[in-house]
Amino acid sequence: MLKKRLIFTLYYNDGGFYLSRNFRLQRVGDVRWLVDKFRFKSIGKFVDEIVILDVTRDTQGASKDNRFGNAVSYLMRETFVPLTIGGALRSLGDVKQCFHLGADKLLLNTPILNQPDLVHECVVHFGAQAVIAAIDVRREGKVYFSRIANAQANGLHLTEHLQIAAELGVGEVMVNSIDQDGTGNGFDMELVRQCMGIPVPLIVAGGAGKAEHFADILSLPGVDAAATGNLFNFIGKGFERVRAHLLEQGLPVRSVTL
Amino acid sequence: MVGIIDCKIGNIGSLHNALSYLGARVEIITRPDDLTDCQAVVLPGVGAFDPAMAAVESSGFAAGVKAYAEEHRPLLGICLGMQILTQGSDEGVLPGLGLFQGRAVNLRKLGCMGKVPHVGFNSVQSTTGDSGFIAGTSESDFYFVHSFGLPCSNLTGSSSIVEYQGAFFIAALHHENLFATQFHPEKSGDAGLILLEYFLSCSRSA
Repeated sequence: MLKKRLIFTLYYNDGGFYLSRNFRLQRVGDVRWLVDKFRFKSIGKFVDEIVILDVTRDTQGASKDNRFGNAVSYLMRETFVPLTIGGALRSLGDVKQCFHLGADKLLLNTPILNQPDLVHECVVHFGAQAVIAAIDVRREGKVYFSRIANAQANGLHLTEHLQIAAELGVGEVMVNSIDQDGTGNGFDMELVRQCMGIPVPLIVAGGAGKAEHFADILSLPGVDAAATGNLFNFIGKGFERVRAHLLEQGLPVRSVTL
Repeated sequence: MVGIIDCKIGNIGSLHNALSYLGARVEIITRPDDLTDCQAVVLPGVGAFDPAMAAVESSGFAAGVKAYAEEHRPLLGICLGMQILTQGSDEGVLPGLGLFQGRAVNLRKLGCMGKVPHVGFNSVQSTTGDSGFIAGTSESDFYFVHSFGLPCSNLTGSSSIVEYQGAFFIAALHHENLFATQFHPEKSGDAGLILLEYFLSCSRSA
């Protein structure tokens, strides 16, 4: 039976790794800090996938400097789980660079609306399974809007945004709650209801603070994976405890190979 | 030495890391001539069938790999690399290398009621044959990411079968010197490393 996934998202910015809270970034440490504090050599036993986003401003993906590439290689050299890379991918050249760095999948956010041709090209060239549409979502009352980069106003209704992503043929969708992001208060369960019925796997992000939050969100049908980028709440043996809790709760997750 | 075929159709970084981690001397090979020096060869692949198959053809690896396989030297196809070793795929029109019987079809056609692609860790449902490699696939969860799969009929050799939302399809194949996995052993943690180690051990004894 197909297992539900636990995903660790890392925000890289100009040589460091960052914590995001309601989409404001705070520097936490460098790659060595990360490898040390999260016991990266064994992290693959406890998280199913790793996402690394280069959120460095003022550099386009194509000009991703060697430091980003070096950080990625350093993190992944003994970690044998799937890797997704994202952040400011604006051309096929940027995308190829990600695969060159060892990515299995791309996370595309802005291009879903602004560069549908690029998204389509990625799907055709690398397959739907290699393209994840990321949608950042803000809640206003009972309505969910997507956030559009560099725009003051709210974007589309979430359902509309999901529809566009589906029509582009992406292989997965990751919805990230801006309101819950980095709070540790738990995932937005209501957000999931808004995403029911999408034809591809759904990854929910934003708000994880403890093991129980993962159990809550992953127990919902329609949720295929849950992601966290919280660099404090799952430090040390955090992910080991999350996985143990999920297994204890009888959730369908990958068992730990000892 | 172990060769990883690079036709620009797959991500070879993690495969290179995994095989090196296991102590193998790994070379990325970009010309069919390089197959001569390999004790074992891996054909990785992701993406759509026809662009990948076209790359395998135009690089000369189609003929090269067939000749290599006919000499009974160990070959492992991974994911799309496995499908390339079959007779073809409904995803495209180009013929595969035909080293394994069968052709890939959309998971929907196999009766899949769930979301496609099939993404994530899944466990093998049953196995046939007496291969140690195949036995190794039934021990743990492996990482799958694909929309097309190989039906379970008309196969030669040993195989393991996985189920996803009502569809049954091939997770791994082993026949003599030919190995193939639909899943990614190089992204399946320790369980995947064990399988790769098994493949390497076959190449050492070959």
